[in-house]
Amino acid sequence: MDDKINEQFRDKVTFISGSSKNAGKTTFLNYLLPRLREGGNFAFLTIGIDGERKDHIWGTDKPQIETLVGDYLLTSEYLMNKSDALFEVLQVFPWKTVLGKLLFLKTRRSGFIELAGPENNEQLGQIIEYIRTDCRIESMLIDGAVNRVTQIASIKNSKFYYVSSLQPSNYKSSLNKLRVIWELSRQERVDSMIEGEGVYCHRGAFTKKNMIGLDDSCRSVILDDFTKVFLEYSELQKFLESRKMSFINTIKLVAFVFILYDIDKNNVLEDLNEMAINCPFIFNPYELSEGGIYDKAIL
Amino acid sequence: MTKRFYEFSEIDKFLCYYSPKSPYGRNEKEEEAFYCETDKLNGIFDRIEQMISFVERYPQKADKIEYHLMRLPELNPNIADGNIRSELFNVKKFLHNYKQISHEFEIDFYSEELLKSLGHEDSQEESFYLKDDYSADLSRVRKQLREINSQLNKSKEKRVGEIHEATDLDFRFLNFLIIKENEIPPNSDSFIFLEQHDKSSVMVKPIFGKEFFLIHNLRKELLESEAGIESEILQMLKKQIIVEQEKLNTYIQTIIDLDTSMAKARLAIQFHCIRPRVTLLENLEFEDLEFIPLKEKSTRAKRIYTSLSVSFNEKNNVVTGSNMGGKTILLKTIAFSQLLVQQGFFVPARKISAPLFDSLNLIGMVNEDSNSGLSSFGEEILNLLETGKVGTRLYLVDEFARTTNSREAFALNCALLQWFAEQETVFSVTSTHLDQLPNFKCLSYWTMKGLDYEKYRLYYHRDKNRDLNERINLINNYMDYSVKPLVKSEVQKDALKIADILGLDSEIIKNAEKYLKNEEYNHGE
Repeated sequence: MDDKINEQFRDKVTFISGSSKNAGKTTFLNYLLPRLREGGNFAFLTIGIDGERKDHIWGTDKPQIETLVGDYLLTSEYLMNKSDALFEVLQVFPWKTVLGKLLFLKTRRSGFIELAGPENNEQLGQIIEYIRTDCRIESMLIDGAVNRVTQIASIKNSKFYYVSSLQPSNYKSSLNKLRVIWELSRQERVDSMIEGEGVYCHRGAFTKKNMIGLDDSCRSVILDDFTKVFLEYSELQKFLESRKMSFINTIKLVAFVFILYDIDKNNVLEDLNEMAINCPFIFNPYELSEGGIYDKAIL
Repeated sequence: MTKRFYEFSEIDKFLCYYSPKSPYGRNEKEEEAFYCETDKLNGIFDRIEQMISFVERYPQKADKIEYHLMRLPELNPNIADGNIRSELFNVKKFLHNYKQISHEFEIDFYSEELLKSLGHEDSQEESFYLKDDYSADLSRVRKQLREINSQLNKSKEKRVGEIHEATDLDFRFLNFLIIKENEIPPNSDSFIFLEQHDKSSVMVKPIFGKEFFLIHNLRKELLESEAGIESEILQMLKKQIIVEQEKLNTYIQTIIDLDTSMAKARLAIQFHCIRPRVTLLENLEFEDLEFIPLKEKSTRAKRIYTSLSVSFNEKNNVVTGSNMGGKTILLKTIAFSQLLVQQGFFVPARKISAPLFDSLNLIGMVNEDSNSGLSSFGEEILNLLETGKVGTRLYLVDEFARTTNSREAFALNCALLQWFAEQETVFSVTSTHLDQLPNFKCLSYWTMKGLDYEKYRLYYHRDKNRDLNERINLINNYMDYSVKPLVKSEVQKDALKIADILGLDSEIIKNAEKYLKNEEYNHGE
């Protein structure tokens, strides 16, 4: 088993976020899981319920997670009952979701399961706290729907992978989205929201309207976290030309994961280079490399 | 008890320290119970006393009990089939933790059999799992499933190996791969299934063969059989719980009493609270009663805090005194204390005797914006109209009609005091600036002691530059916040001195003193 992969995930809360619904996050999760099992206990969960059942990779119903004996996971009672695996119930959380209460489970017999998760930051925080303190599990993989990415910021020392499906119809807009994420992930962290000379603190969403409304004397803006920024790349670029942006909570971007459809990898690399996006990339993790040998060293 | 009275008392700033550990205790806290019967309250106070003694004598046991209280889940009285496993888990976890509490607190526990049925015997854990040995049928079908799974895994492993050997494609970690169209291995039709991925690549999936799918289908049948057997067992367990429902309800009530008593005991220990003496229709008496929200604020601001000591000798009482002399705080302290008593708490005092009231009423302002469109005076009249009409009532009146003209204010206050005097079951404490209010039966007059003139004379120097905080501290240093019976000839008038300390222009102070002298002359003082 790949020690490098294990080291990246061990004792960390890793989110798999994505550019859109059905970008391939759950499939990427399935790709990672077998590589992690030998490294010790870990838990996998999802944030909320996506609501759409198709996935771009499969083109069919949303892929389920294969859970093996000894795996720990979070899902709803309804989905647990639908599963062909067998589970020991370790915890029942008191909140009700549309699919019933959330249960933390240990797998007693392998099978397939669909995940369901908490509906807000507070619940997610309590779940992670429970997993850490009661179950003494520090390594967690969290499959996050794109409209729930705000929740990543609530968990300290978390990091994320960003999965993006690139095709000719969305190529330009997807790259711009990536540029925004890349820029935002590099802004500095500050300890508190304290206004001062030229320093303005803003709670909640930061939009173009907020940007335009800033006083000329404002040189720096402090926000909660990067997920509160709702600017196009050109707007963000304009902002950063004359001002600074800082965050109370920062989240480490580990890598971009690209699922390519009719797009040449080399073209993407060229464009990323031009944009000076300098972080690890993973292309088509399910793709066979040249030698016909599955290249585990991609990560 | 009105919401306004509650807000006026600032009791929330104290009750934030009251923390029951179980969901039942927390629900009880949210309900803000209000008691009017001495027997009921004395029962609660007895439990708190016992708990204080227990906590002080056995701190480790107390900690352990609180640990288990925190782990108790809230049980659903109705177990629907869709959530049967989660509810069985909750019952097991509840019983497991209740058993530990009963052991530490030496109370009875009657549900060993049910706990055993829920699988507690072997593991002594909170988790819930339908073990194989629940029934012979379950054991048999699960054994078959394990064998089938093993067969499937071996078959899959073997096939994945064959595919890898024939095509170089490795399906050990994924059920599909993406490869370039021009890299499709030759002669691979019997090994892999192809689907278009994009213009230049295909998705390949392994073909497992007929045998694999036959075993897979058999597995499906066994899973259905297992689900049926499990459902029967779960229904049987559910019936057992329904039979034990009364016992569970008893346990829940025990938890509520234990949890709230322990949390109140902790609060009493932390703030040196005592058991109040509750009465019917006797007068209010306090010795060193502390208004904790103000005490904490004073400590933070490094100001002196004075507790309240007074034995009201009538059921209706009027308190006068200088501005910033503590009249409103006196009323807040009484409100705070009365609410604590009637919500079943011990009180931070050296001694307290409190009658019980059916309603607690405030005529005065709280820190809220008025949305009614009424003036302050209008609000006060509305408050009066909204007060309780029957039973024993306490009224706290904070400078009634202060915003209207002085003649009508005087008349209204006299009339209100007369009305209080005529009601047998009404108690009141009224703060006012007004002088020369008449005497009525069952009414006594008190005064805040006010500025200590000696200290003021010796230590106050007007010319020093001081910020607002320093000025307030000065007032605090010179002010005596204790209360005494009023001797009419000793009425203190400190408003000008207070204004002076706060920094009002000396010209205005001088002119005000002139007007005051003229007024006193005209009234023959």
